[in-house]
Amino acid sequence: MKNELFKIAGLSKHYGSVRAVDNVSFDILPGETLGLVGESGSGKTTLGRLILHLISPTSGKVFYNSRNIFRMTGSRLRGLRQELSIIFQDPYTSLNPRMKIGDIIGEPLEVHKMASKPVIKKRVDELLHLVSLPSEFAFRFPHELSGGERQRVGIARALSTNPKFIVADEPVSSLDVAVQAQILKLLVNLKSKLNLTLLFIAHDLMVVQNLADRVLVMKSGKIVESGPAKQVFTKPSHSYTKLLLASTPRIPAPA
Amino acid sequence: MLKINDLSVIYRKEEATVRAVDGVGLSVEGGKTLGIVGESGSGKSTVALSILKLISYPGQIESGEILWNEKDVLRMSDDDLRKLRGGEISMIFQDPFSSLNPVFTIGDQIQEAVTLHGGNSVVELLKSVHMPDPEAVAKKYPHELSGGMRQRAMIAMALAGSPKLLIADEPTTALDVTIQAEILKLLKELQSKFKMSIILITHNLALVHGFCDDVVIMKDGLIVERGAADEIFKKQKEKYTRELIEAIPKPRWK
Amino acid sequence: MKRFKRNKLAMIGSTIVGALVIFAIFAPLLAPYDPSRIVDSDTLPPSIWHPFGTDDLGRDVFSRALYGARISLTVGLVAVTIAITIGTFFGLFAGYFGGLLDSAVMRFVDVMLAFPSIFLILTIQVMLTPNIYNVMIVIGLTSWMGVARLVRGEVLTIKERQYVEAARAIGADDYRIIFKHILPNSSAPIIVAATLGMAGAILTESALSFLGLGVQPPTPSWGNMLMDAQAYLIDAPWMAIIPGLLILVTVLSLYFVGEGLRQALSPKEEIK
Repeated sequence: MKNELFKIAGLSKHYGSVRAVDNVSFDILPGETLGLVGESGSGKTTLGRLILHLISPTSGKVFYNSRNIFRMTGSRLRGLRQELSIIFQDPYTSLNPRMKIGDIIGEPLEVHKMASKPVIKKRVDELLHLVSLPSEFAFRFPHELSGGERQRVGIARALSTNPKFIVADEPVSSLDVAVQAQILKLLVNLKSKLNLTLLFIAHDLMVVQNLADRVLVMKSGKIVESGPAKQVFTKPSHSYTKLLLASTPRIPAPA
Repeated sequence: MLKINDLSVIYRKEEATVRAVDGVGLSVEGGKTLGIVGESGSGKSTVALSILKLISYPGQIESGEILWNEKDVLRMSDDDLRKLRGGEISMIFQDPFSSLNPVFTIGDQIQEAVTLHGGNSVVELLKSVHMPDPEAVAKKYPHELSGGMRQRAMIAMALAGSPKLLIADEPTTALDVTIQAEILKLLKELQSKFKMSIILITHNLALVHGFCDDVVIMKDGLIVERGAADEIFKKQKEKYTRELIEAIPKPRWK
Repeated sequence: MKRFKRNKLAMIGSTIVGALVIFAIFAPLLAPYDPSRIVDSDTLPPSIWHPFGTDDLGRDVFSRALYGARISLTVGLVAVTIAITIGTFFGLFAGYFGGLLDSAVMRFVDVMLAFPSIFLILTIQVMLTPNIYNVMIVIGLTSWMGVARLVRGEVLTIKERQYVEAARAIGADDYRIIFKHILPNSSAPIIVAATLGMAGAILTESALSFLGLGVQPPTPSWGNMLMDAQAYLIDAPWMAIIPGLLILVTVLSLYFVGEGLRQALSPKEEIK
């Protein structure tokens, strides 16, 4: 498989004696949505941050387009930030409370000097429309928006530099159930519209099932199961996956 | 056994007074489980806290009555109220980390409940919540235990006074889904063993299925819909309830 | 904003400070006499011509008080600005970069704090020729440490916030993160420290001038007016009462404003 977007090889992150990520290897193919599911302490959040080189590994390599990202410095690393984005979990703390929404969304473009101020303004407006928020939100502050709206801003920010790959780190876990469904629907739309490659991190298997092409299940720093989404859900091979599926509260189908 | 009539609770915030609970009425019978479901801000936790008159400034119980075996909790003497709390009615909360005192061992804290309300020994209580290695755990401090174990410890504390009603305020929200399933199973087991009623407060309507007999849906301080748990999933009267059910992710494949 | 307005003491305080600022700025227009000139007989009690009386040389105390306000407020403002600027810089960099830089800065702060500042200031002033400029600078240079510690503490907390991580994920460099993300979010304690610091600076300047080590006569400062008043406590008590009262009122008012700001700016708790 020579066309993979990412190749993760033997990646480990140890904090003292704790193996947050323990010798993990897998590929991410362009255009696919990969679900990464695990409970607290599984290492999924750490893995997400490693792939974006937001933290450094204890050992192992992450190849992005065949280049080891941990060897990148300076302008190459900056270029990486343009092509790889992240959507954070908590809409209440991931936006700078002192910045206007428009500035928050446009900041990546400003940092990378990708366009002039008027062009950035236009782009911010496009992005707001993309995430179904009104244009005038550009002048508001985060505390004036609801959780769901703030999360949309986080998504718009992640999309601003036209990234090739996005890590969505539990993007709906902090939201009310009804709002979760809306945001998931938005992500499904965006990923096909913009042909994104997505790593969707979640603790709830049910949340990824509509989005993910393939699913990885993590426990204690290791990947215990991986495969096409349907297979993992209907014919799980690992006992932990079976336990996860069994523990999820189900409701009967409405009449 | 528990009957709430026309309960209203307000919170005095700087800008305005918020009506957190607005004329709510419900009842729970012996041995049955009631689910109170709502999103954040719906007032569900406020109702739960009111049952034991645990609302304090800036909150205030404005009106209504809470009848426990025909006696109004809101008009009880302080002594009777103290006996009731942790005695016949017990409560467990969402975040066991902040409800447990970090400087006392688990054993000491459960012992405190036992001393106040009588009942079994600390180790017996820990055994009844299936705590692995109860004698050793009793000597540990809260931060040395996992989230699931802390929640078990809190349940053990709540059981000390042999309660007839257990109020569980989002007991599993902070826990992993596998632990959540275990804790809910434990609560069901304890319910039949000790013949308790349970009120489960949650934002997750899916939890109610298979756990509660009756359910009440709250929004903005009001009860929007109520009914038997199995009926609600089959047929909903209100649009809001239908929205809540539709929002629950359903299995994509069979 | 609303919370601040509700705090009655803070509102009274800000009104008084506001009035003082206006008096200070418009002193030349408001003062009936030249503060350094002898305009009448000495030690006259307060009257219509001299609302605060005259001092031991026959100068109008009211005019002197007005010009004294200029001195006090200017010294307070400049000294506090110096202190805040130095303290904020040290605090920001120490807190953000941590490690050796943090240790070095904090040890330096400890050393500076170990000197009793009053003695330090007195010693420096004795060595130099005291005038208003070095008073401002010396006070500023010896009162930045508290701000540094405060800011460092804020930075340590804010550094861990997710929006800072987000900025890093975007590719923002350290300087952008420090000045665009961390600094604006740590402004609240800085503002409070500035207000309270100004009160302290005014007190210190008054003390220095009282000892003759601050603003030199004939330029009136409330402190050196007190110095002149010492010999006349019985004969012309207004010479001491006026500047003393003014110092007290100014410092208290700034204190109330500072406390009001601290309460208004402290994070609110959400009730679900």
